[in-house]
Amino acid sequence: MTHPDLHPPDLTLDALEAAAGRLLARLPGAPEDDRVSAAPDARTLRYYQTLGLMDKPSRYDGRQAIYGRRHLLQAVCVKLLQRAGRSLQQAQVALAGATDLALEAAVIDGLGLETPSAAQRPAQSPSDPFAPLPEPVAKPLVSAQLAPGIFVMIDPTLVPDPAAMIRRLTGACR
Amino acid sequence: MTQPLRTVDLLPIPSTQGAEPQSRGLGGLLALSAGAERAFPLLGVKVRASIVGPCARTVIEQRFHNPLSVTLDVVHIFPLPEDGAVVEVELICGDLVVRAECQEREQAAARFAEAQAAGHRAALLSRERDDVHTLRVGNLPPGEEVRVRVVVVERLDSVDGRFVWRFPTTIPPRYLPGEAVGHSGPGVLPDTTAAPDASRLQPPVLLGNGAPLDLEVSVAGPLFALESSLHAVSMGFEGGGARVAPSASARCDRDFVLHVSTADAKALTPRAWTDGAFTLALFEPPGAALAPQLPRDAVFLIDISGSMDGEKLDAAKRAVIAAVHGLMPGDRFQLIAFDDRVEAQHSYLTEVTDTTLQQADVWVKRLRARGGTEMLPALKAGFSLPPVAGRLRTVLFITDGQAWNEGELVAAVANRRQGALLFTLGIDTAAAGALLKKLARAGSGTCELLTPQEDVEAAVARLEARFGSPLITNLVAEGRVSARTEPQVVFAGRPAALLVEGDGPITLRGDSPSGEHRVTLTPARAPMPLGALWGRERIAALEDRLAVRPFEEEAILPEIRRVALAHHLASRCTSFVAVETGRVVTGPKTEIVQPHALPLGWSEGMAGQAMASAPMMPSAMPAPSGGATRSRAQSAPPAPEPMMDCMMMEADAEVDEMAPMREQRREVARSKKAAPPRAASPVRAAAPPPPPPAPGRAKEEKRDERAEAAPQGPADAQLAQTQGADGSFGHDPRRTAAALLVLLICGSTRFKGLRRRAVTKAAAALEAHRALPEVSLALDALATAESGAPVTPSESWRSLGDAGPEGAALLGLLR
Repeated sequence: MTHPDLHPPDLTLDALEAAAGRLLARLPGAPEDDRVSAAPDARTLRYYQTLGLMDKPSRYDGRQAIYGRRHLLQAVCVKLLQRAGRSLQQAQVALAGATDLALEAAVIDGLGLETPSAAQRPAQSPSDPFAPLPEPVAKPLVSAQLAPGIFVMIDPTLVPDPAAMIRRLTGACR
Repeated sequence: MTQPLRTVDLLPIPSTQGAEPQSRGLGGLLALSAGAERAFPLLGVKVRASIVGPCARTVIEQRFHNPLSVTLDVVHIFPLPEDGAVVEVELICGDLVVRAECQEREQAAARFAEAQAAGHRAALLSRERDDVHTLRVGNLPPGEEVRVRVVVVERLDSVDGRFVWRFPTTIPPRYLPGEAVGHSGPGVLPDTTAAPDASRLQPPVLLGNGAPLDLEVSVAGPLFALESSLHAVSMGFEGGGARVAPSASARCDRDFVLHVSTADAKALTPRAWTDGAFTLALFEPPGAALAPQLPRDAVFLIDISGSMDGEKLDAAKRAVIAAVHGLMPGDRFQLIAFDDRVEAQHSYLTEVTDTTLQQADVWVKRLRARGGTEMLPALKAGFSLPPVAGRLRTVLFITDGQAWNEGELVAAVANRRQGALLFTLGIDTAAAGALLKKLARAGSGTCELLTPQEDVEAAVARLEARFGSPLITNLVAEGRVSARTEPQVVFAGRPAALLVEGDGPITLRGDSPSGEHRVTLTPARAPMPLGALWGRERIAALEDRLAVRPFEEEAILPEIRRVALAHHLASRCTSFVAVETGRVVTGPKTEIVQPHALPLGWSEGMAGQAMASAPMMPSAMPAPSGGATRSRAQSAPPAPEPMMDCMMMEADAEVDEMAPMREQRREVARSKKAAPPRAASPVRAAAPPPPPPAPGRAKEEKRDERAEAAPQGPADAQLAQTQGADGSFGHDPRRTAAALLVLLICGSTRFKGLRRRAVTKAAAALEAHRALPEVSLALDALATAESGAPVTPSESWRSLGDAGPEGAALLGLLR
């Protein structure tokens, strides 16, 4: 379990709107672009569906569409992308085929639901399928100017002797 | 890897250690959304069509790529020509080509699911509606590509002497009535009470450009003319035939429409072709006589739903006004507009008088686009008035046809029309031909599909020729098994096409007002096998029957399955499935439903309304404007003057006779805007040189100028709008005589030309004034023209020059 708010029970469209609103209310302030609303209403959610930004309902309960966790993650992700200055068109590209894992990572990240330190991370059960993606291992890179206007960056974990490589490249540039 | 360098600030070296969560970018999503190059799986569509006489064979190749780092299943809901039959499907993985098998739908789906589970690459093609197909591609490995090749054959409709090939490239967001009851398919809309299969039909809307379209059509000769109404095209001529292609920047965002006039198209003689096993016969009685017409009760149904907004509604209004003014004295009419409400101008039929015509103009011009496309109540309203003996009831349904509840609409027309004839006029850049053709068939009328850019008045004038009773009814091929089980109806300009079993001479028999009509045809060799076309037509006939008699399902469905399997066709009961077993793809998987771009001229607001859901999205893309064609025309090179006989694209002989006038207006338009030079833009200059004659562009430029001259309109069109209800112009015989002469010079008589109705009415009004020398002069000129002699303006006509605006128009033409 990552965060209880990300594991909702079955949701009607109205309940989905409310759940997404609750999550997005955690963000401070209002969107910079005043044409972007803070949270999606039911009409907007249906519009997301026609754009494929949100999947079809999980099932129907009589004539009532029922939504779930993936829909909530998708709806929140669209808003997070919009608040980051992305257009709906860019969101459509980014969210196409996004797995639950990627969506959840984005939501946790964007809402700051959890900020576990690197030390706490291994304690998490590796079998938890909803665990956020491990933070990418940061690599300090070596950069150098070979000639005026020409820069290189070298990953020292892959290139055994960066200094020697830079010397060779600088030579080649002359 | 060059990728990171683009986004990294070089100096100083950024440290990713201890970065803030925000800059990590929403778990990588931000980075994905920034890369504009990352696209949806469909990389492009390649189309190669060959048109020979009345048949077309089209090869469509869709290229899919997996842009993700996990294995991908692609769902592609895509359009195909509504009269087409899928006869072949191939899955192409690199050098490997797997030919798909045609199987029963459930069996094929099971085989595909099995392959999907086993990690094999596979493809499944199913037919959902006449114009909507679903292609599923399973187990596309990360970063890899497959292609799917689909072969479609179709019989082309002949409309006023031209064969029309219309290739759809996108499925617009259509309106879905009814209450949601479930969501079984991959589309974005639910199944509803009004359309139980809707969840399989609607792909998501793509924000941004559609996939690149690489289309080329080869047309076998001998050709008289070619015209493309939605694309600027380049053409190459070879051995009597031609190759036509839109510009390289074409996208999947509108139909590709090609009108083909073959050299012998004017001879409206019966023609037949056979492949030995099946025969195709086209039949239209020669010489449409002035049949005794029943007085007409004309109902006009105008779609004012949100999706009609913009130039579509403008075109629809022009069509209605032209059609109302085309009514004859003694006719009656009713105007009904609908979106999700039905609004009739009057609840009864109105006599055609000057006053009612004027009121109709005002009423129509005031219409605004509004809500959802609820066609069912509108059609019911159109058929609600009880039929009147001795009068012909026609209903003209003017719409973009963008609604999904096909079944209930077809049934409503068939069950409620009470002898009325339903004509459909579809106006869109991505026409809903499947629905509108079905409705017209159920209503015993014809379907015309137009683009908003076409000359609507001319189209309505041609349509009016069909409004009378059909020329021939009960047309059958004697002693043959016909694909369509119902006897056919023949309207002027719309030959009947009969597909029958067997070869050898074929005898057609039908009833005309002057008695039984019988003709025997000796077929020529068919340009392609006709079996698939026969099967397709038989299935269409069965499906039409099923729509009206759903309770016969148990008998009809097995028959559809049998015909489809016998001819290897995709149908509602059969699908194509291909599995490549050589490789097993493993690892996590995801699915993408390929979205489709909005058609040219649609805005997202319209899309939202069409789907009964959405507000205008604030961060939405700027709406693609209908002005696109125009701006391209601006940068097009100067139009080459028509030189070659097969070059100029106004195919219709009737229209050709108006050419001198048009030239004249063109001069005017030229002199009016000397300022912006029509030089080729740099972009165009850098493109590969187009073949010297680019008639498509020439056409577009002409349209551009026509638009500028629009307030004026062609002289005869202008006249048709000012003609009084009694056929006179200003109740003045001299003005009417002048108008009649203008119409004659523009190429219309009572039997041919765009304005035959206006001529007929004017001539009838003049009969009473024959004593006036100028009137008898005009009537004599009419008689001469109708005897087949060319219209030679006489000096004595100038004496009518002072007869009002009509006289002025006449003088203008005589000059």
